[in-house]
Amino acid sequence: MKKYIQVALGILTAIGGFVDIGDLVTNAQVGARFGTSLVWSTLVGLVGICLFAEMSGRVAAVSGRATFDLVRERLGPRFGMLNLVGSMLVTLLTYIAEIGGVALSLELVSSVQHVLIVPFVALVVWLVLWRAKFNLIENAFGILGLALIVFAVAVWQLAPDWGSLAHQAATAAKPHDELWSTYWYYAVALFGAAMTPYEVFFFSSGGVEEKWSTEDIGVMRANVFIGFPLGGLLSIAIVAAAWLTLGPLGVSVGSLDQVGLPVAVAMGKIGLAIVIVGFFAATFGAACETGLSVGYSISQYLGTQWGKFVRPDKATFFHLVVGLSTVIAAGVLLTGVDPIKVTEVSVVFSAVALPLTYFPILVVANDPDYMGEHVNGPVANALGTVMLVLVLVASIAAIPLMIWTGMGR
Amino acid sequence: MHRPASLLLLAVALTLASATACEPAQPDHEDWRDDAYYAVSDTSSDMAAAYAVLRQLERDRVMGNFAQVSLVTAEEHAGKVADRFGAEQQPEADDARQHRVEEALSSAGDLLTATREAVVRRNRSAYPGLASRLTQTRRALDRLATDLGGVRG
Repeated sequence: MKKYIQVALGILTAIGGFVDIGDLVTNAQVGARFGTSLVWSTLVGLVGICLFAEMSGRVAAVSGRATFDLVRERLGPRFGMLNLVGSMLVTLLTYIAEIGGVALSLELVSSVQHVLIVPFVALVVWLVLWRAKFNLIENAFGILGLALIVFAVAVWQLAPDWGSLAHQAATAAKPHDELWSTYWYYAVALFGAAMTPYEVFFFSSGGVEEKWSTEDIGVMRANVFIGFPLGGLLSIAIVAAAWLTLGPLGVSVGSLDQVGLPVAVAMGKIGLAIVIVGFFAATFGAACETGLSVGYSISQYLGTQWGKFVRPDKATFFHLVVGLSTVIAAGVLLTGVDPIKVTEVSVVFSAVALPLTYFPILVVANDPDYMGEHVNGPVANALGTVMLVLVLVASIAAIPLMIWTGMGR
Repeated sequence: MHRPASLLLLAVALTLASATACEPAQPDHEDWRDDAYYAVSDTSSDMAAAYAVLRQLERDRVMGNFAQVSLVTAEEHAGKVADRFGAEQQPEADDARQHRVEEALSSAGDLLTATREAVVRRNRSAYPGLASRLTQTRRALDRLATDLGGVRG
């Protein structure tokens, strides 16, 4: 019975924790302008994140060590450093965006300018990262993040023409008033948002924090292969809700309130209150995950003590990095930079950094010295290689598309 | 590199940077048209968002604080768009169109300010009139965007 509860909790957490500020903003922007025509990109990203999260989780369960810990050892310090710098900078950028997202969520209920809320949010995030238990961080915000299911309810309430939504998704038909360059820019952005690097760092490091062994591989797979796809459905619900309500009005989403507006249109104040709780939980949970991931990556590369399972005085460097990252994030946001713009940049740079994150995982998961009998099978390798090619294409195309389209204008 | 040479390079770079920073952007006709199109389209989107929020507020389907934040965001965004566009030096042939666009952006900004003021004061009787004006202004902006015939026009 305990095992089933554990599986159910893991799946619920995976669903609620799947969506972060990048998914919220990018899916709403895409939905309002392109409808469901880019759902294929989210689905491809979903296959990718499931595939590589499973690999990194399996590596953690079999070796008892997290990704960065093994990358330097397996691929050498130079590649490890490249991997560290690329992935860590993107994760830091995402951390800034998530803290900004929490402040924007609180602004929606308090009407206090988000810049004034940022120091308070940064302090609370840091305190949680320092004091709270790992399970609490992972489960509490994951479960609370389930409030975002309200997007799916909103789509239902809006009584759409399901056939038309499905047809648009199946044919990937670009609206005639949009450009192909913008279409592809958003395809890459959605892909980057679905496969954000920190998700696998957090997942594999979390496995080590929770002392996974080979016996936990089944539970881990259930979380990944059931929880993540259901979380992906939330992304698609955001797209559909935005298309149905904001699309006809011609609203191009540029703020968090506009992401939540479709729910208000469909369900009124109660729906709006629930979606704001969902925004808060999703961004706060992701802020904790990204903050920890910055600390994980640097500490694991340098081989110092890391993690929440070690007492803070035994992992001082790890906590110092987390604290410093929080100060940097707050400092950047206090300049008045728009957190939504930071989010837009972070998903594009996520796409750029994808090969640096996912190539080493594929290499380590194929190494029998680490993995023994749990080494990748032919299906995982074939899918992993195809996905790596897609990741490489997205990575190369991301910045030229960003410049060419003026960030998707 | 010798120190004086590096200092000279730095001085030249700083002089060039400060000189070009004072110079307004001077796009050619095509670029100006695209910038004008984007400015008008972005502002039209702000009007549409403000309209949607106001209608929901009228029906008591959103909280006052939420509506306030939405309208402040739309107003600020429209203001930034107008400022950015106004800082450009249009090609001479586009003087009249620049004036027309600036006027349209300015009146849209004024309307967003009036809407925000009404919402902050919870002046519910003004909502229907403002919603109607927001729709009219948005339509006028959409027509202007089509006339400009920019990137997506």
